[in-house]
Amino acid sequence: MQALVIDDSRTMRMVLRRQLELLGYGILEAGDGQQALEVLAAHADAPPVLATVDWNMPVMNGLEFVKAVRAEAALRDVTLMMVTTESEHGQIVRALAAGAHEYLIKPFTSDALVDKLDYLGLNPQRSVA
Amino acid sequence: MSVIAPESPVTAHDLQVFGEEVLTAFLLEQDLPATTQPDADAGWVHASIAVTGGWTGHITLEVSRAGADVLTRRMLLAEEISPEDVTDAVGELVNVLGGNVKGLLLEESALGLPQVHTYDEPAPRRAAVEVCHAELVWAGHPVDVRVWLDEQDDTTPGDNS
Repeated sequence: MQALVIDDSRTMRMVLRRQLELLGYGILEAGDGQQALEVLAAHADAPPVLATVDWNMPVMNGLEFVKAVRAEAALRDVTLMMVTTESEHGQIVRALAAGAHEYLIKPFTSDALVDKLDYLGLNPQRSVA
Repeated sequence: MSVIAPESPVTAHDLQVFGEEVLTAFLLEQDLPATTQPDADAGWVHASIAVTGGWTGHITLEVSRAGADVLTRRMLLAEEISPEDVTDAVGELVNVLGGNVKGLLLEESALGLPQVHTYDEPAPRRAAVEVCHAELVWAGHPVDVRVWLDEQDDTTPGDNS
């Protein structure tokens, strides 16, 4: 299983990479929404099953990215999980309305991330072979 | 120019709790070095993030250069780090802290992107009033976090009164 980690912070990408790799994911990375769309286009034959999406990024922010992915039928199977500092209820509603499936607020623990993946059925360690 | 009274739902206690949460969430206990040597003489790393909209201000985080280096190594799990790594790691800390602070604000506001000034580069100063601050210690290194309310220019053009 592959996941695309989208965050303008290399540090945060590393934190997420570390935690997702421990669960068994292969990782793709992007530093903003536009770059993420390019990564998805380059992997159109086998898109990642999961994308973690930061909200505040230069060039194209996370909300714009979510809307762009949801407008593309070929990417309908990519599960989108916002991983962001935006914690207000209104922001969460906006992201979910735009097509995000889950929402994880920074800072988060690895347990919280695993809980979200379990809920989504995307924890490779719990997948039925 | 006028200064709005620093009325804010954010308190020093909130900041203390957020700061501790941010540091411990990124830096597991087993990651902490056994001993540390604070080295404030080597300078400071200053990070800030702006909040604009209904509430306009900024959040700052300052940590000693030695502390920033250790924080960065722990966050990246790397021994060799670059100044860019330090900028990114400390920037992410203030980004997460800023997001938590923004979550307490009553007015709808937007978070900017983090700005980090390291080592010998002086941090720009803004006209602002301190709302609250918290002095944290991470692995022996002081970490200073503050919330500032920006001064607003309410002078109306042509208003000579």
